[in-house]
Amino acid sequence: MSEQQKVATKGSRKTLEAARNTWKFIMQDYGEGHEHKNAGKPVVWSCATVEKELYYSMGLFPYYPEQFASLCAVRRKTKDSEKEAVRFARYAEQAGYSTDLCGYERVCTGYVINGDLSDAPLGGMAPPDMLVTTSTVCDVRLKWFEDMAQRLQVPLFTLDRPESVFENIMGHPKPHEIRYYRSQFEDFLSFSTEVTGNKFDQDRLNECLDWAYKTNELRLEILELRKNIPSPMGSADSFATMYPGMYCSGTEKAYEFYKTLRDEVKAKVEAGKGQIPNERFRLLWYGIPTWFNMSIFNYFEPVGGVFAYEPAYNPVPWPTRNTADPLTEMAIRTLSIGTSMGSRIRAVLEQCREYNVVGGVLAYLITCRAYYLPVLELARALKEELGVPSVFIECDLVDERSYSEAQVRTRMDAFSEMILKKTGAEVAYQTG
Amino acid sequence: MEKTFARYAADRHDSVRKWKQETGKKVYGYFCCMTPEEILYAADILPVRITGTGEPLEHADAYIQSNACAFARSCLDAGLRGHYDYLDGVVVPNSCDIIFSMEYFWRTLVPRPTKPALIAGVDIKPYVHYINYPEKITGREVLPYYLEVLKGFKQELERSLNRSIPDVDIERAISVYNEDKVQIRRMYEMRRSDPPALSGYDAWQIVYAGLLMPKDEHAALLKDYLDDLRSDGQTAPEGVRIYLSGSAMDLVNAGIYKIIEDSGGQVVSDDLCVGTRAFWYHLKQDLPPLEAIARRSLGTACPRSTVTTAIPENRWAHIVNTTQNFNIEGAIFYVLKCCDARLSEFPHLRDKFKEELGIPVLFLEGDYTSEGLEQMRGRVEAFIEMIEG
Repeated sequence: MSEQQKVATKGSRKTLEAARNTWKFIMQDYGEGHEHKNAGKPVVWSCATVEKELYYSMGLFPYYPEQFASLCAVRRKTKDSEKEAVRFARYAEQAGYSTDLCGYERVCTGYVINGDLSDAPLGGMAPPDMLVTTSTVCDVRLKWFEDMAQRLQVPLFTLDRPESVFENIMGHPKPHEIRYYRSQFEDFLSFSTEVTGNKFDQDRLNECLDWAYKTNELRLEILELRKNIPSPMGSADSFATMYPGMYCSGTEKAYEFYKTLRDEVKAKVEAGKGQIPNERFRLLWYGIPTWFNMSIFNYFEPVGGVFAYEPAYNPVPWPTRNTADPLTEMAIRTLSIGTSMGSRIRAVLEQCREYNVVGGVLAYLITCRAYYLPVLELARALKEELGVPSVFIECDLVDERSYSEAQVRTRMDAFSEMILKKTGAEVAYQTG
Repeated sequence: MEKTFARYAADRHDSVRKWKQETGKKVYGYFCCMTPEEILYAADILPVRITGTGEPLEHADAYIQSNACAFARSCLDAGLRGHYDYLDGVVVPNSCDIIFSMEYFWRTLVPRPTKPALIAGVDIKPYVHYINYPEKITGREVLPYYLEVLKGFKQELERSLNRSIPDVDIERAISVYNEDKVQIRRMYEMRRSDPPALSGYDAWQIVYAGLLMPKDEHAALLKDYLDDLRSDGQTAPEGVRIYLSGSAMDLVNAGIYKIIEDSGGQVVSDDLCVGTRAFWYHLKQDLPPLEAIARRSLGTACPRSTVTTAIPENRWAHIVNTTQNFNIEGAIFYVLKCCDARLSEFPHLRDKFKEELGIPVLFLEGDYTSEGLEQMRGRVEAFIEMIEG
């Protein structure tokens, strides 16, 4: 790779107009949250994997500390100051939080310790009336939110989600698991009413779920389009556009966003236009992105490499609507997705086949157990079952102090050379 | 009898192998203290806690990244090296992210004694039994949910063993386990005196041995040992009275007790899963047996669990219970790297120790090696000197 393409901690080059417009969407969303709070309406700080339709149906405006931490990873207070994520993480570390802990946790805990919640990018998250988290994905979210609740003296609700141990990517949850998870929704609704006075309205929830389903269908359609060769939409575009689907599911604005995105991707496919003019090999990005340096997703482009797929934040098919009992429907929807190591590894192998991936960049997020635990097994399975080689990138998700640019460049350069050599004769779809 | 405890602690594999050979009974390994051991015991199985070795890894590095919990990696390595080749089954509760992953690693990697018995793609005699333990340990639906989980576990076990496990046997197991808890509690009571009746290390060794040997045998031996101790009037050396809080405490990590004792301290109570959390909560014998087990299991106050109060404090309640009347002079948190739940709760608990109990706190982040422990010696000495004034 030439000297001109230096890796730097900067934003990615996006190929889609909708991706470039997401920032506007995020700014508006943060602004709406502040207006909501200023109007005396309740705000929730929530972990990312809660069923968001619950919030909109209960008149709550949600902020997501994980997303907020990623926002802090790209913003500076002044041109010369360090990233906001680093500033906040330092406050947490000074208070005794280990540097081994998740960057999301350290950043948000430091933000809370700092005291002034408006002293942050986009004016920060509006002060919460409640915190909500789930037990799924990792232990940190549970303990981190508990800790923030103690610091902010704000009530916390935890949705306890039984893990789904299946042989495959999706499966059938057991009746008692569905009953239990459904009860968590009911308890949340009672808790929410107690804190805010807002009553649950099932029709309103069904309305939100209708938008969420329509949005999910669009997102699945986009995923299908992304299987095309050349790749019309890569991981840089996908990570940039995940916000509305991930954090505003259940709203009309999210649906409208993906309608525009789907149309744009579809037009590219019809025009035979890829992310880059000469696509030579397709890669998988496994893990949450290095939010402080999204330019990594363009790194292989000069040699014809594109990131065709990334498992994080992408949707799966949902069961059919059940308007008579939407809470059970939501429970089944969530519990049908396998969460065990086996399920997660199977899912990635399947996706590599579907997206014609020839190499994997495995972001070994040193502070994120959910992602680093399966990574060696995944690399082994990719190699043994699909003949797909991998390279590891080690760093935190938002704390750039853990990122070694030189090391990453060396590894990625060697990897691209190896892929080019390996695929030179094999890549049937080579257009360059 | 002290020798029996020490033998189980030091030569756990040989001791259990010998027991298995002599009795012809089955042995199951398990992770974490919320495992419903009583059901295994009722099925005439010896449940033994899986722990690591502290030796350099031979195989696990190929499967789990080096920054993951060194204890869990060592456990897996021991499994892959065949140290646990006498196990007839393994029980994995969902007790933290990394232990949850052991369901996959032990099922797919660790050699098992028998081939899977597949019927329609389902292994009817699984080697690894997974228990979907809830993270929330209070709330209106937690108990009914967990009871279903335990019923499922019991049925899976019955199918594997091709025998039923009647309630009367579970009730008998509960009574044996309760008797053991009574004796361990008695041992802790004897550590309230100054100096304590026995050292922190000796007490740990007794608790640890209890996780490896049949509970009835353990309870009987411990009763005799404590009777003798009382009549002899022996005590441990005097020392600064320390409360120890930390990650899984096996033979490797237990080196911290020696360092504390060498430095002039004496551990008199703890917040450990090989300690108070393993025995503090008795099983209610007036309840249906599975419910009694479920309630005990949900009462373990693991750092990873949470409760339904608006601002959860379940962990602090356990700490208050296990510090009261022990005249604690200092608290040492010995937490392994990657133990996220403990690392996350530490700053909050440290402040509570200082503000509410007036007890100074030392934090040590361990790497599960004896070398790493030795490097902490100076800090422990300084901490104890500071308390002594």
